[in-house]
Amino acid sequence: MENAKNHILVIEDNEDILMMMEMMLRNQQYRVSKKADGNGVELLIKEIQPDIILMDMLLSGVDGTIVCKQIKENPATRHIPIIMVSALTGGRGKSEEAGADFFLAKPFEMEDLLATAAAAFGLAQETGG
Amino acid sequence: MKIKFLNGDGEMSELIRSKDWSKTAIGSPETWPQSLQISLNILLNSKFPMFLWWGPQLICFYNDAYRPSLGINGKHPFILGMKAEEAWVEVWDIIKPLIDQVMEQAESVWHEDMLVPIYRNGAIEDVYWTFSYSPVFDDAEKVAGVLVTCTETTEKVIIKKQLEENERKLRLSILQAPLAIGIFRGPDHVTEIANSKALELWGRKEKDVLNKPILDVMPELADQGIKQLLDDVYETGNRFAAVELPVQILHGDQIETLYVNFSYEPLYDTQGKIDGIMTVGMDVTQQVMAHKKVEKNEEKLNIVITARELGVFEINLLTDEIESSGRLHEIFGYTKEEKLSHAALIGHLHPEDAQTRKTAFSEAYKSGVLYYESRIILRDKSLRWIEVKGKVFYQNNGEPHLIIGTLSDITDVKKHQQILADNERKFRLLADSMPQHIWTADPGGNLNYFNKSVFDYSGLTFEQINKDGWMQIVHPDDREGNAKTWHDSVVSGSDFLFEHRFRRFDGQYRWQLSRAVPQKDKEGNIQMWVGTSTDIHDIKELEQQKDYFISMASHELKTPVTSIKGYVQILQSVYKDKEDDFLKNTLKIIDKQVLVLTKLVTELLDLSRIKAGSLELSIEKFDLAELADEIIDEIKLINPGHTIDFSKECVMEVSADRQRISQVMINFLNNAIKYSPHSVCIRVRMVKDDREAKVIVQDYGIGISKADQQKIFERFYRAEGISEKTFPGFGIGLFIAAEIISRHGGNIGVESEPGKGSSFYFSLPLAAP
Repeated sequence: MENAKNHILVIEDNEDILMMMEMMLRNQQYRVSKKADGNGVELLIKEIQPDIILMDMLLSGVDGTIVCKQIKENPATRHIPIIMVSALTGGRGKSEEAGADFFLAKPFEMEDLLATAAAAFGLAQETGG
Repeated sequence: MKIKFLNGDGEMSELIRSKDWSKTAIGSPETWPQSLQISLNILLNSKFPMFLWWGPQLICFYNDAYRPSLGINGKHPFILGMKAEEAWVEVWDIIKPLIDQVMEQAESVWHEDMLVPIYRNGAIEDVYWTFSYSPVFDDAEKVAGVLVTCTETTEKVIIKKQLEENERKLRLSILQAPLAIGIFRGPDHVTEIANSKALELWGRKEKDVLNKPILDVMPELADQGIKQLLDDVYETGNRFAAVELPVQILHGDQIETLYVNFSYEPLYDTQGKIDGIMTVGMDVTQQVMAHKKVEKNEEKLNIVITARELGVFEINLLTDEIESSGRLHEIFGYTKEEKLSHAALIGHLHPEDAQTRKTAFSEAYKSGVLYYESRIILRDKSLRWIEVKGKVFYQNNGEPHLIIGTLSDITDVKKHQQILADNERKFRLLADSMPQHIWTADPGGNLNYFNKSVFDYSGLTFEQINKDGWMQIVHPDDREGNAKTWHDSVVSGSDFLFEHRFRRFDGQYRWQLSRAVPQKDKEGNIQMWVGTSTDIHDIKELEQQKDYFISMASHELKTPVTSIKGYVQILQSVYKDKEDDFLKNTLKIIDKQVLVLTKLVTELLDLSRIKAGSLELSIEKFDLAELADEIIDEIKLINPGHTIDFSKECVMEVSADRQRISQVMINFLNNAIKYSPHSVCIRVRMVKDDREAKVIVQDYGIGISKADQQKIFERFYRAEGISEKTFPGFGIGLFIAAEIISRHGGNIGVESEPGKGSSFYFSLPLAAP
């Protein structure tokens, strides 16, 4: 079986990009769970217990920054490293404000996504272990 | 009894003879010693007043000549034979010491004009005497008596006292005179007296002038002919007088020119010989200056009258007679010699202006000042404009009786005014037909004209704007900046440029671009400001929409780009071990073009952020040299055709946005590569001083002309390449780079020579240690 800390939840409402990111991550032997909107994310986390979360900032349903804040305010989930992705102007600042641990500006290099994911798993290993 | 020495026939001889001396201390005359007898003989026969005190008791004798001094109802005759102490009781204090002196020391005593009051004429009188007390020796050669020879000098003394009093009064009156008076004595003109006015005029103190030759005291007079004048008066006795004579006199330490009215009068002594000069003078400098001023003003007035070609007139309101100058005649089309009555002049008045003149005159009678402008029709039917100004003079009863004034031909002025009025009308017509707001302001920045457009737009009248100010239509949020910018322009005289919102009549605020330029005269002084305000509301909205559109479009573009990029990279990684060169090359090209597309989208976004002022910086401390090293490595990988010469030498720590600074460096390097199609070498150097770090990227490519160097950091500027295809891009990379560096407080620039290459550089402040 894979590394114990390899479960990543990807939340992205653009189906093509969601699939693209899934492919990239799976290729690295990560376990990928997907979600296409911001509704009910907390419940899902409780259920599937991901090690890290990769999420877009603009989501249908609940906005990504709000979801991120909720995760980071909840003692049960706040240890989970979050990578925020966005094409938005000023995305980096908003992402930091929401409490995300990493930020990736769209469009990104595959290499950068994988490096960031690895760093996030590394962080999860340290804090959640 | 017949005693020889008493046989005189005078009154006193008679009195002595008839007096019974046997009862007195000196006994009968027959017993009197020889010396007394001789003395009395002399005394009684002398025509000079004489008195004798004899013996230890000082028994009194006197002669006829002395008798009047005792007056009527006085001591005479009873003091004859009386003891001196009893006879002269009222003056005993005075005469006793004198008598004692004579008796004891046998010396004569002499006194002149001595006051010895005596009782006579029923009262004590002040009597002055000139007298001598001489000892009279007895037969044993001892002093036995005092012989008094005396003259009463009371009258002489009184006259003398009166003379003295008169002189005192004279001196006093000289001293107190409102005129400068001085008396010089002798041929050297020694100052005997000088009153305060004289001292004031001479600029000297009394102690400095008294008893000194005046010309020694006032040496400045010597070469002004004053000595000759004084000598002349002294020698000839001819009085000298001068009026408003300028004299240079030393006052303090300064020579002042004073104008003086003065005279030199000879003074004569009792023998009729000149022994002095009296000077009487008056300082009339102020009057002379006033005269001179009046003369000057008159002269000025004449110049003004001549220069302005004024006609001058004087109307006697009681007789309606007029005196008028030649120029006035000329204005009315007459010769100087022709006779002109007041009525004749009025006859030339334009009928429509008759009332104007009438009103002006009745106003003038009340206010004292005449002023009007009117037209006159000359004999040749030509029309001219005149301006009349005058002053009314009144009689004691308050009735006006005279008007003196000037009259000028203002036809040319009126013509100019007409032209000006026409021009102004044209300007207003022009201004009012413009859709733009047009306004003017005085040099102090006070707005004084608005075209119709302003009133139509704001729905306000000129009075309303005038009363509450034009600022009332400016949006409250824009007022402070507006007022400051306008004030700065008015103070500095530089053009005013400002965007602000004006309230329309319907309450809507609309954006306006206002611009005002100062209108200057030849000397460069601001005469007025002419301003325009253009409605840019729609343009501004469009611009905002455009910026919003760019922002949205670039965001929306990024989503497919993210997708394409991602899948291409997945494909590349999936097929990286396959031997399919076509597939690999096409994927590489797609990846490269996606990179170009990404860069364009990013630049567009950055541009809209810069425009919106929302370019964010995420500041951190990092080593600029290390960043350069990383970037250069990456660029080398992508551009294997170029060599980049760089060696990291030292740490250069800056506080900056790492992402943005790398963007600038990448831009510099990409440009260096892009614009060096025929040169492979790029040089990167880094230098620092104690303040800042500088990065220089040098290429040996096509270079940039001087003119282009100025514009290269402007938005949408691009180098003139061989063709557009050769150098793709929006031309905003350097604009963004410049903005990023400027936001960091750094400098950006270029040095370049066409055909030789360019050196782009930027600098950043070093991080605080």
